[in-house]
Amino acid sequence: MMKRHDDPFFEMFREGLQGYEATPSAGVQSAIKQHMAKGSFFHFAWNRLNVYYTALLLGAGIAGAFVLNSGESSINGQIAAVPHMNSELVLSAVHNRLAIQNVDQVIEESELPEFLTVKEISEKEISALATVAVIKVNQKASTGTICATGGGSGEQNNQQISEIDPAKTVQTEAGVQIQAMAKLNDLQLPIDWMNHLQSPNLSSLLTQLDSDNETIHITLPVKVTVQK
Amino acid sequence: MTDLREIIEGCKSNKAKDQDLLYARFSKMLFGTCLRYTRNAFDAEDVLQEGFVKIFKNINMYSEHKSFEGWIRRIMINTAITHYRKHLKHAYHDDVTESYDLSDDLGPDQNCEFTKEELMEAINKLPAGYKMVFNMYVVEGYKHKEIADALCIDINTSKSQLSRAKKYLQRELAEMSKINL
Repeated sequence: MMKRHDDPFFEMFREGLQGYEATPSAGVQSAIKQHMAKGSFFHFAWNRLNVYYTALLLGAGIAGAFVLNSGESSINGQIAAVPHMNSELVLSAVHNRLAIQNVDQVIEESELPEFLTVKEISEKEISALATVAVIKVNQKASTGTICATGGGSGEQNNQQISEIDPAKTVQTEAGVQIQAMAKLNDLQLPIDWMNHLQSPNLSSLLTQLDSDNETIHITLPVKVTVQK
Repeated sequence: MTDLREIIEGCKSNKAKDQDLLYARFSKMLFGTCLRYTRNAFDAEDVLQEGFVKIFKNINMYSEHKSFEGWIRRIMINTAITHYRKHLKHAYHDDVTESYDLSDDLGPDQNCEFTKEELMEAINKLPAGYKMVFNMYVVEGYKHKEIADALCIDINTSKSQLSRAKKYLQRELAEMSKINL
């Protein structure tokens, strides 16, 4: 059998093609660079920014923000001084300022009509059962008024609330109650409506406490009775 | 010109500047190799890119006792073989289905002089399987057993494809000679 080096035909190709060169397009080099840069980001090197340094910086940033936030909340006066997770103290603070009274006449949620008309509200006492409300306390108000915001799950709900005087309204997460409260806008909510805010269940009070100089946000389960 | 050893050391430290220098020094030669193993320039560029990434990632494994050019060339050829095998079922299907009428009566071996470009042109007309075997055997100096292992084919298939490739090329060069005359 003829060996490759004995075959002049093969030898012609071998000699002709071994040194064959061609120029690739410029895009190849940039693609290689991009690939290498991406790869090197995930490998540690002390002299280069990589995923480890990035994670370290992020961790430091988060820790710093946490430390700063916890420092702020401890200097915000009476209510801010209340420990975040101490539900009894928070409730006590709310009670002291607002004189919330218990209202016995509360109906079950299942008994509520799907939609309450203006006429119905104006003619009879309506009790609404709220499962969760976000209470916003205005610490600067001399009368110690309470307003409730949020709690609704959609933007539409919040808009309805804003139509009512935001300093004198209560909002719940349950759709039925939201409709009821929205209707109260037409009826001019009485100024002492907050007296009908029933005390919440202590054991499930407070899932969020977010304070600044003027307001404190408390998430709590609450039964709401509105009287007209 | 920067010493190759310094460039290699820089590449081992993942220095972009040295990677650029290495690319500038060897890309043309390696692209020429890629072109011999692929169907077109686009595929060749894909192989070149993949091969260079492998070179940069594995350059720490390079032993200075061996030829660097031989080492990177082998990486590029292995990358081309992987590329060929990966696309075997689709792009290179014509290898299996097409048959070529290759009579033995091709006349004497070519005595004419052919340029590199003409030889490349002839090589590029080969069906992909023939091209792989021909390049590996004739240009790179692989043995049939090595070719068979690399391409996952039988040794006899490697031998027959080489024989067919030779006849095919003889015919192509004969045609070129006629045109040139």
